Amino acid sequence: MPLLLRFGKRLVWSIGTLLGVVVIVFAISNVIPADPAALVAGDSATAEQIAETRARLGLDLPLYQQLFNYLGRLLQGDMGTSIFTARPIAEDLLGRLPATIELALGSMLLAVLIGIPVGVISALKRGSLLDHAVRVLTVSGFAVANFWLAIMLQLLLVMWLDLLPLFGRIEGDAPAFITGLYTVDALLTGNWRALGDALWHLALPSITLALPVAATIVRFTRTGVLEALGRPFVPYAQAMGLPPVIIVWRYVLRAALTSVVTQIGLVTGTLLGGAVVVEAIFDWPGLGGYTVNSIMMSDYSAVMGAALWIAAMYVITNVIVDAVQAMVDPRAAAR
Amino acid sequence: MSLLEVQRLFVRYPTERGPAQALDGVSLSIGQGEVVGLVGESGCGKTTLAKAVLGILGSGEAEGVIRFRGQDLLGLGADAVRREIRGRAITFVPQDPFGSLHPLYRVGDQIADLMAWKAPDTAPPSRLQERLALFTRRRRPAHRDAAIAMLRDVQIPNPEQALAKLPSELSGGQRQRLTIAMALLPQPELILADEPTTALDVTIQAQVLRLLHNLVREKGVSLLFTTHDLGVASEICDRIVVMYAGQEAEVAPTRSFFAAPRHPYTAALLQSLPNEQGVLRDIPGSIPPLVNPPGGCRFHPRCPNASARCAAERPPPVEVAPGHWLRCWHPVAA
Repeated sequence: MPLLLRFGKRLVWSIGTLLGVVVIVFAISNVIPADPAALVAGDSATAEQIAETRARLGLDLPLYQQLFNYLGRLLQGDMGTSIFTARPIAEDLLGRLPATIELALGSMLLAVLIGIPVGVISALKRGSLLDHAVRVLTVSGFAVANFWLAIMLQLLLVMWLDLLPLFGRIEGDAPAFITGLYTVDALLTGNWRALGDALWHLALPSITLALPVAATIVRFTRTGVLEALGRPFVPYAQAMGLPPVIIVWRYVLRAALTSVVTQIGLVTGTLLGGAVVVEAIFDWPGLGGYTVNSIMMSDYSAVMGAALWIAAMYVITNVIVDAVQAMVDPRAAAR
Repeated sequence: MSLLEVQRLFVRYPTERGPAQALDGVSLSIGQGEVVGLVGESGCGKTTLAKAVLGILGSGEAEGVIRFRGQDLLGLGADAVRREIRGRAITFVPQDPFGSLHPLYRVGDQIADLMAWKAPDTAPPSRLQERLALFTRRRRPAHRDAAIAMLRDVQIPNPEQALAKLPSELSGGQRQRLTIAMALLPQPELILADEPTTALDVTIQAQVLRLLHNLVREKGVSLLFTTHDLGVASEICDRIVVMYAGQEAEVAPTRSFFAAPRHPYTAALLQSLPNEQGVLRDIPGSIPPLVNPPGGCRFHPRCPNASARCAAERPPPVEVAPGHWLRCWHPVAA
């Protein structure tokens, strides 16, 4: 019950965070030197027509009033209409959300599956050749830009080795819609061809996104494990003759995980930010790709909507991380 | 036959300034059901000796003989000692009950982990079983009952509830009782207790000490008890071994030890206890370094009786009274 209470409390707090995001996004889109009214009115519009459009869109109102109007529409689920697709933005985003969730989850899973074992082994073999190699790789993992890595991987794995597809989410028919995550839907409906194909398409973008995140997880796991190895419960467990596997992968890792889980919450931001670029490069039909398109088209309502959704994903992830944190560290739950 | 027989045990730790000779040919024996106090200042090697017996010296290198139930532990190999002896026939009570328990696992889980591998009614696990430890479930309901009974024995109130608690929710005294319970649960023949009361409040020290003492007596378990506190040692030990800088100085039955200490170091140590006149005497000088320690008897630079021979040659053990052994060229008069 305290866990649920804590969960609920964080959820309420996150509404405040989202409100802040709306204000910031709104302010930014208003300082950008482009005139949405002119864009909507079209190339051949006269000054009069543009002024009329501006009045129609409420863009001539004071800024605070525009913000309140925007918030009011948001509460009704109305994010405006995209200039580019001429469809409600909320609908556009909802249709593209599953692709981004699938990519983000896939990358995070990959990053955790690589990052934690490598971090633990690197800590256990501290100072060895392996540890140094891992350090070089993780530092590169931080330093390398997503778009560069994406293009290099495309060159290597697609152009030269022809192992993976260049872009897209699936070839042929998508599996029947349940969650919108192709891999999950394929799994649920037993559509093995679609599962294989979806995974095959998912591989490259998620590797690209996962690498910097994995690097972060490796660093924090390594530090956490080293710190935990120095704590007195380790020699005690050794003195009582517990198997090393239990001491390392349960006792030490559990103690190290508290900081790693916090970090996973924080790198979600990096991951979602990276997704914007990576989706554009791999033509992945998610929120990121949509955001890039909207920016290119100066479609501000759409940019604002997408930014808001991505922020919401980040906030929700952190609420979940917080709950996981409480499970990993029961003392935190009591605080 | 003694349960544990340590003969001419040397332990060296590598350091930046050269090898530290933490133990310099120490011999010691513990009989069945005997309580032996290993007394000395910090750094005298008492903890190193306990670690050597457990086979957890880390970077330290041991040379000599450690015979347990007639079996040479150094020859048996670290891996086999861990699986078959450590936590089973020989268990351990740590000095620091605060840090020694895992802060994030509930008490019941930590006991269950111990019992999964060290329960007295189970065969030692094979190497493969240990490798697969994360993927197998070895916990048994019977272990929980045993744990509750043992927590009752060590007088932890509401054992069932205690199992569901985190170590941080227990008091220091309760945590130390818990580690005593964990040391007894595998039904060992020998318990090594490393200053088990040092971290506790003085008022609780005596309680925990008495409890440990009563339990090992009741269950007929041998106890090797390291302490820097002669008062504590006098209360519960059958025999006392005094160590100085990695060498044993004097070994004697407790009564004979306090009645007639013969080694100059022991005599000085006893005089440094507060006496009726309230006079505290210290021992001039300080503990020698373990890297390049003084030759011969390591106490000679501080010894009032020292001669040239003391620096040149380590005195052999001599039995000066029944069971009272001494390693000194110039003992104090009885």
